[in-house]
Formats: sequence, C-alpha cells, structure tokens
Amino acid sequence: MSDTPTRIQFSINGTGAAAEAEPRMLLADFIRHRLGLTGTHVGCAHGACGACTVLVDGRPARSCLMFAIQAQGADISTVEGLASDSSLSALQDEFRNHHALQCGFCTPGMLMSASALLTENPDPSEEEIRRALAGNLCRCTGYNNIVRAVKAVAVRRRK
Amino acid sequence: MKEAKETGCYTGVAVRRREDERFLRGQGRYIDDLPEPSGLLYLGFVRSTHAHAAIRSINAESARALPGVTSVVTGADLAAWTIPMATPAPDGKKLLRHNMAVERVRYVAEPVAAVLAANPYLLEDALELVEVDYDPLTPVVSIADARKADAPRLYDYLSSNIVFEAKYAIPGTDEAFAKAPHVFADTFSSTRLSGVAMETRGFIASFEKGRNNLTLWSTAHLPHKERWEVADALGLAEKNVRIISPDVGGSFGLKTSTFPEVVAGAAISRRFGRPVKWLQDRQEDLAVMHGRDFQFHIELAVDDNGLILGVRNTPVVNIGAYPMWVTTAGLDAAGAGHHMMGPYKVKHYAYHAMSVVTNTAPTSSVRGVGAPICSFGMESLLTRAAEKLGIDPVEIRRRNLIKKEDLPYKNAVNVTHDTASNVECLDRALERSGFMEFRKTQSGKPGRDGKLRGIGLACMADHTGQGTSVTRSRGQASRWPGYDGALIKIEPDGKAVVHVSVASQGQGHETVFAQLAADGLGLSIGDVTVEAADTASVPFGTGAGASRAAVAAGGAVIKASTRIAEKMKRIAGHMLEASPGDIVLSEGKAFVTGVPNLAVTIAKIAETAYMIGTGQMPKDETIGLDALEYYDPPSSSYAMGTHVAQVAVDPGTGLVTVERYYVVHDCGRVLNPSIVEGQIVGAIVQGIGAALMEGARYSEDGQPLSTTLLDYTIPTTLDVPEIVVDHIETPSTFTLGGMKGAGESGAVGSVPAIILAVADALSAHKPKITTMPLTPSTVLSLMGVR
Repeated sequence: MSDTPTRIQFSINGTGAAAEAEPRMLLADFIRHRLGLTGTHVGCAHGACGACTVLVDGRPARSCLMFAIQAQGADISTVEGLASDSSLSALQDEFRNHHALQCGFCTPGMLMSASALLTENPDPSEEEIRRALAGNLCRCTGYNNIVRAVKAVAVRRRK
Repeated sequence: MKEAKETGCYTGVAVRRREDERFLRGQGRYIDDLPEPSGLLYLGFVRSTHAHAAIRSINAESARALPGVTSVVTGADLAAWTIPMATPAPDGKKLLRHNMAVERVRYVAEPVAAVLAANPYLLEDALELVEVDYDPLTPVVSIADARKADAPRLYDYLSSNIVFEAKYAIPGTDEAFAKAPHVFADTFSSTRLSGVAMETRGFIASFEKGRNNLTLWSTAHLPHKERWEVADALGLAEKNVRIISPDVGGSFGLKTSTFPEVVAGAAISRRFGRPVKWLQDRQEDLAVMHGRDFQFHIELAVDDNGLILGVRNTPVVNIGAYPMWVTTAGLDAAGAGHHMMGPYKVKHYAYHAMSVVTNTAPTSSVRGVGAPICSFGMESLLTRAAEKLGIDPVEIRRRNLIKKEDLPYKNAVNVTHDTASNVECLDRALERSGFMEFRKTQSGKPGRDGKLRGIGLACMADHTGQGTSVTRSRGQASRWPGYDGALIKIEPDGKAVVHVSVASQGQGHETVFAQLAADGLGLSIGDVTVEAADTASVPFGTGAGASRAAVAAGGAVIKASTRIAEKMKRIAGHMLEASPGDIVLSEGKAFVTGVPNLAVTIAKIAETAYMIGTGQMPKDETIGLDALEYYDPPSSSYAMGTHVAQVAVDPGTGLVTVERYYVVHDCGRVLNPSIVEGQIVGAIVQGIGAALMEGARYSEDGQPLSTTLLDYTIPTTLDVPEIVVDHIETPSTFTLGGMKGAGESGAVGSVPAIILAVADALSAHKPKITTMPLTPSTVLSLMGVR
C-alpha cells in the first residue's frame, strides 16, 4: 500500500486548515495527533462506543470509522470548538450543573452527539434524547444526569 | 446548584466539580493525550491464540525486516531482564508469574512477544508478521474443570489448580445447622464480567540510564502499589520509580492490578534506553480485563420464625491463569468469605473460600468484589425461606436486620457495625416504591401490554473504609495497608495545595478533598487545589478502592488541615493580641470571635509564617505552613441501604426491562450529595449490566467469545430507568468526619434486587434463579420455553 501522504483541506471548528494524511490514517488519529486536538477520544476503534464522535458537515460521525482523506473539503467540529475562551457553552454548563460526567473520557463524544441533536431538534423529549445518545457509551454516570443536562439546555433556550 | 452555603461551609454541599471544566473543554489529559517524549517507540504485543499450549518456536524475521520496526522481544528475552512476580501458593510454594509467556501459554491473549515500532500503524503491520508455532495442550476453562481430580495442572510444580484456600468457622456452626429446623441452600454464580472503563489501559515508560530512574505515566489505579511491583520486578529501588497517573478514564477496580504489559514495557524501556508507549485496544481490553468469575455455595439455616441460625459459604473464584495481586491469590475469595452477612444478624457462620487457576485471562476485583454475589445468595435464600415458612419476604428481612438496639454489633467476622439505619432504609424504600401495593396488584401479572411485571427488594450492607487493623485481622497485611495520607501546603501567598495518596479515576477527588480542606483551613475553595497523580509528590498510602477514599484520605485531609489551622490561629492570635482559642478561620481570614473587624488575612499569616514580610511569629514557632498527616480508620464501617427494582418481562422475547428503581442509602456523613448520588447511580447501572446483559464468556476450548463492544454489551441510555436515590445520613461513630464509603454499594444491592424482581415477574413458573446475566434466552428457558 502506498503511504504517500495526501494534502487535505478542511475546516476545523470554523477555521480553514490544511494538513497531510497517509491514506490509511484514521480521522480520529488525524484530529488527535496531527492537529493536536486531543479532546476527541478513542474508546473502542470499532464504532461501538461513540467516544470519538465529531461533527462532519454538521452531522455526528465516528472519527474512528472514517479515514482522514474522507474529510477532504469537510467542515469538522470537535469538542474544542464548543466553548469560548471565557465561558462554556450552555450544553457544557448544564453537564457541569447536573454532574453529567465523572471520569470525563466519554464526555466529548457525548457533547458532540447532544449538540447535533439540539441543533436538529431544539426541544427534544426525554425519549428523543435517550435515542439520540444511545450510541454513546458511558460507564460512570448511569446516563440519567446526562439526559437531564441535555433537557436543561432545551428548557434554558425556551426561557 | 450552589457553590457554597452562606456560612462558608463547603462540606455536605453539592459543590460543582472542579475537574469538570477541563474535561468539558476537551482538555482532559489521559495517557494518549500526553505530549510524547522525544525518541518514543510504540510498543505492541503478539498474543497467544491458544488457551493452553507449549510454544515451539517464535519466528520474528519478517517483522524485524519491516522498515520502522526497531525490535522484537520474546518472553525468554524479558525473563532475563525481570524478576518474576511470586505469589504465595499452598504448601509454602510460590506461584511464579512471568510477564510474557516463557515456553508455555496459559490463556488466550497472553503476551508472547513484544514489538517496538516507529508508529502505531507500522506496529500493527509488524504484529501480524510474527509467527508463533504452538503445541496445544488440554485447556482447563471452568471452575468445575479446574477442580476435577484428574484435571490437567496449569503449574506442574503445584499440587493442584487450587491456589488459595481459607477456612473460618464460629464454633458451633455445624451443630447449629444440624439442629436447624430449616436449611435452604444453593450455588449462586456470576458470569465473568469485563470492566469496560471507557479509557482502556496504557502507559508511557521512560527509563533514564544515567540516573537509573524510571518514569511511568500509567493508567494505574493504585500508583504506589504499581510502583512497588514494577520496582520489584525490575530490581529497582522504589525511590527510582515514579508513577504518574494523569486523568484516568474509569477503572471500577480493574486497573488496581499491575498487568504484565506495564512490567514488560518498563523493562523494555530500560533495555533499549528509549521511552515506549503502549495503548491497549478495546479487543485486548475485552479479552483480558476480567473479574467476578464466581461460584458461591451458600447455606442458610433458619428457625420456624425465619430467624437466621447460621450461614455457611463456600465461595470459589476462578482467578484465571495467575493471580493479579502479588501478595495473595485470594483477594476476591477471602472477600467473599468476609462480606457474606451483609446487614443481618448471623450468630453462626463458617466459610471455606478457594481460588482456582484456569486457562482464562487473569481476573481482578470488580466494583463490589464478592459482595454482589453474597447478597444475591442471601437475599434469594431469605426469599425462599419466607415463602416456605409463610412469612412475608419483607418481614423475614426485618426480623433479621441489625437494629439500633443491637449496637454496637460485632458481626461473625469480628467487624463491628457502628450505626444501623437498616430498618429506616427499608421502611423508606417500601414507602417510596409502593412495594407492598405493587406486589398485591401487579406482581407476576401481565399488564395491558402483555408484559409480566415484578418487583424485587434487597437489603444490603457494604464493608467500607477498611483500616489496617481489619486488613491485618484478615491476614492481608501487604501493600494494601488501610491508611491514607494527605500533605497540605499553604504557599507563601496564602493559597493551598492538597496532595492526597488516593488517585482518582473519575470519583471527584479534586472537589471533595478541596471541600474538606477549604473548610478546615478557612479558605475559599477557589484557593485550594488538589493533586493526586504523582508518586514523587504525594504521600504513601493505600489508594482508592474498596470504598475507602472518602474515609481514609478524607480523614487525612481533616487531620492535616486541622494542624495547619491550629498554627495559623497561634500566629493570628499573636498578631491580633488575642488567644488562639478565640480565633476563627473563615473566607480567607482569621478573626477574633465576635469581633469580625479584628482580623488578619490568611495571605498575611502565610507571609508571616514564611518570614517574607515583617510580621512577627510567636516565639518558638516553626517556619512554614504545611502538614503531612496519615489517617488510619480504626476499623471498617458498614454503609447500608435498601434497593427496590421493578421490571417488565416480555413473555414473547424474554427481554427484561428495568422500569423503576429506588434506593435508600446511608453512607454516613455525605461530603458532596451530587457526587455520592453519582457513585450510587453509576454502580446501580453497572448492576443492571451484570444482572441482565454482561458476560465475558469463553468457548469450551478457552477462546474468549466477546471481544468487541457488539458482543460484550453494556447498558446504554435506553436500558436505564429513572433511579430515585434517597439518603439517610447517620454519621459513622468510628471515622474522623463521620464518613463511610459510597463507591460500591450500588453494585451490591442492584444485582439481587433486579434478579428477585425478575423472579417475581416469573412467579407463575417458580423459577430458582441462581446465575446471571438474565438474557432473553435465559429468561425464556426459566419460563419453560426452549
């Protein structure tokens, strides 16, 4: 297999960028080790745990199941793009308020899935939240505080 | 959620977690997020594909020839660079663990060779090129296989596969059984679990030849224990090994073990003079990170009124191919002997605990250790006894629970219960769950949706915060002593750093210990930082685990902050011309009681203590503001609670859904209600997994069958009901601060509550449920459907 790198142009958290990736480099590794954005975590590398979830053109994607070259021209969002320098986003803030994280390893993927849900459906029901997050595993919290945190964002937006 | 009570008291308040902001921003620093040292090589392991085989040959030529591959190391190479870990075995012998297989493999996924490569992708290529030729041997997989008289022995130098045995009996136990009018008995088992921490294990090992120093950034749950074990295996002094556990993504007990890869990695780094990095992939994790492979034969003797006359327990633990703790092969087995009585009064008790080795992955303790299966057995047998004797199942529990009037109650393994809100927990759980009404109207009956409903109740007590006296009485004196340490320093600017000997894997230590220290020192919590990660800077201690950090490290933080506070009061008294006894520390200031204007800031006191200002110290006062204290809990303290689970069973598919869950819980003084509730709920959901879906299964020839998260399923958002948590807060009379542990009790009570709820739903079929998980096919077979 050729290991000749390809130059990829993309946008990361709203900023245009370009970098090289070997043909078989996973998008997760590219984001983490080539771009240095280590907030996106790899929990299983077989598409089952959701820890590596990022948004590709606004839709949640498992960056462990994509090659970096598939992101040619794509608009990629990662957890690092959620907060401003000074303050957390409403979703991050409600995660903190509701103790929706313990070890924090699954949290970035969980935030990205929840953020995609809230963009698509600003006022989801509990059932809709549970379905949208069913592909993101968490072993610490038991999930209920995560569901409450997402719900609280919707309530906060309604006010 | 409030940041603090108006009184300035943080302890007991749901203070928002101080670790959260970095995690939420994606700035957590787990092993694979750390900057990589220059010259780093990536390490991977060729693993056995056989459960039991002799190694004929290893051919690594094509792997070595691959550009980018630095070296291939075999088990024989590693054996020459390390000292095997030796665990006491019967007949005064030692069971020797090599950290990579030498001549013989004993489980699928045992490391056989290690490859070093320039990048992780090349490493994967190279691992596939190493050829190992095996001569298969007969594998021993199950407890039953291992105990057969003619079973193949895993270790030729041991007389059998039973590598640990412990017996204990209160005199008169057998006689009590012989005379008892009713004896109920069965064998209760668990299917082996995998821990599935979201972050798999990993490390960066960096050996500096010139200084003879090893630095190990590791997912270690017990950094000091890992330091000792690695130092011992490499023949280094402990002072020359530094373990740094950065942010760690969950453990649930599994990462307390020092696994073979970390010892191999440290030795390889020393040998080649290069830093090496290893990350476990999820398939490896699911193949080797196992625990709770138990078969407990439990007997319960009761009188005509359902009062317990005696209990006998024969716990057998499949520990896999070798013990993971160097000091004992019986950690789980002995624990099962110890944890059997739970919240009940048991006068006569005996156990005969044993561990067997098999050709399966070595196991570690999983959250709850033996207690969930002890509780499963006890609650099931009490339920059967109630039915046979015509006593209400709640009433039989109530009659046997340890009550306030029994205090102090010394149990059958000589541990004293200091508080007992068992009856209050039970009553409140009955009230909140509507248990009695549900049983009358819905139990075992199909609802409109055709599903059968059931409700299950379990009373439980969890042994927490064990101090050295109990550890020693259990014969476990080792690198698991029982105390913990805290080193607190107020820096010259008046702000504090707290170093604790317990590392966190997500439990919120940076918050709770800051709460205790801020209150003890009279500082704003924003001026207190907690550090726990580095053996070079934290005091020695036992470490988190067995529900002990809040008790042991919490006590140490209280002691150290009290000592510094006393010194600050002496200095402030001198500065304000008041008696130290009249000084109050609060909100960063020291003031005279009743005269809040007569005050000096803690910053000023620190300046004085470090003699960097012009303030005068009292005569004979020492320089500085720091204190190192250890706290050794005088005993253990039992946390307790009642769990109620309500389930629906689909009679067509056999699928069980937990629909409602209630727990009323008493873990003594609560430091942070939000964190305690998070621990309890998280553990209950792990119990849902264990009871209904999880199983790290093996084929008959010892091949692991669930090495992806599609085969080993854990609960998702869709498997978890509303979980109502209610606290009764009875401060421990034994522990400094009144805390008891909260980490494991959720995992203990949930297993019996859920299983008894399923049994209740299926009551028409009179099922005797003795194992788990209750997968749909198991449930259908309990219903007589094949």
